[in-house]
Amino acid sequence: MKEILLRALLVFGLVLFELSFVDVLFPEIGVPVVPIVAVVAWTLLLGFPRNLPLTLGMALLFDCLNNGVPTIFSLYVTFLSYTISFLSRRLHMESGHSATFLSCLLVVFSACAYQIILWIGFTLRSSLPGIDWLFPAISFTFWQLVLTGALSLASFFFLSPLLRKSERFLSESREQAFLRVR
Amino acid sequence: MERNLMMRKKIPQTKWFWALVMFGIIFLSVLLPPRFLLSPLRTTALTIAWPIENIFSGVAFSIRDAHQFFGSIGGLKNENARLQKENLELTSENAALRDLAKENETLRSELGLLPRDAYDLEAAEVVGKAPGGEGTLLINRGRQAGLMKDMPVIVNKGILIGRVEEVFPYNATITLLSQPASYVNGITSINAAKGIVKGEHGLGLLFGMVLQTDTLTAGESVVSSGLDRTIPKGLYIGVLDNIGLSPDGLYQQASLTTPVKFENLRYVFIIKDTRP
Repeated sequence: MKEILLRALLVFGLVLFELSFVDVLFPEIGVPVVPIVAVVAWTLLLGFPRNLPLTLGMALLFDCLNNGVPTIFSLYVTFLSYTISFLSRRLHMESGHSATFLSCLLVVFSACAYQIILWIGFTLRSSLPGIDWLFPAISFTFWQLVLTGALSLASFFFLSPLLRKSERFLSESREQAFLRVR
Repeated sequence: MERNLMMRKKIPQTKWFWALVMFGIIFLSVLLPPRFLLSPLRTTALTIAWPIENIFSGVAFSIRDAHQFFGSIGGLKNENARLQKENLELTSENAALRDLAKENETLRSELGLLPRDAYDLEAAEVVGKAPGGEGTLLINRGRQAGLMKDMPVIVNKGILIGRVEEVFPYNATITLLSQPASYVNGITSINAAKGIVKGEHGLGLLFGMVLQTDTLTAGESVVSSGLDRTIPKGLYIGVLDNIGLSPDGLYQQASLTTPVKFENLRYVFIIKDTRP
């Protein structure tokens, strides 16, 4: 129960931080950087199966508060979580400097890729009858892409230790509860 | 028991399998959104989030304002000189307009018309934005403050920026004029050409559906025409620019330059009613 509550609070806080802080401070950025970075960081910490409920919860809450209905963002982060998990195993991203460097690369790529996907979808809207509404209007410049990458990197350095600490706290709580039962 | 175990072994419970299942469920919910489930969830979440959103957005606006202040110090000298010049011009213009305003007031009272700026306004602060910044705004006033769907939203006493879209107990969303779903009846201030102001994919405004017999001049102002009863007459929308023909060649159209930077909005006013 404690675990669920803490995770729910974290997810809620991160979504609100994105909508009411990051989007207000950087209105020119077209992608929700904080939820994307959180999904990457959580996947690297927990792996895909354990991270899936968190990813889905965060994506659906973000879409629900932002648009009222699930959008392509929920699809993207589910796919992203699986891809990050797949790549982290193949690239042996457990620890060390190379792991940090690769994590940073993945974070920047994840945020920028979403902006590129939205932009491609938006420009091809007229030739996508039936699903054109999936792609909202988005402006796209090189400067925006650079800003998205920089902000995602900054968010990663801020979020990664926070999420790691929360996971460590939860695992210690679980161990203590287990020992108390024994 | 053994049979159940066999059945479970037959189902491939791999990461790929779960990813595919979840992807399929979300894809279905994107195509057929369960609004009846999400609507109460959204209302509850927004009500709980109201105080947190106020704090986050307040801090974000303060940081942005401080950044803009320090960034603009270099240009303040030139800006000051320009404003002083503009002030002199406006002072003389103001004297002439005051005389016209008096005359207008007398004529309006003789015709039994309401004063133009007699609106019942509700001030609100922006507490959230959709990524991209030019689509939807979330404000900190809702049903409790008497807001209703389709109420016009203005800034600076008369610049129309959008309408109220969804109303929650303590929040409401605003659809900006730049959204494709936004339509407002407009009229040009000098030549009285009527048309429709609509959003251009969230990236700008277009004044379209103007008859070819009407005259459009670049630089002319466009205001709301009042044809749509939810939006009062005379609210400023923008200035005409890039005049041309519509893609089908039947109507005239022009892009509109609005004086408002939608991404920088912090305070807005909702017109609840024109005073009787």
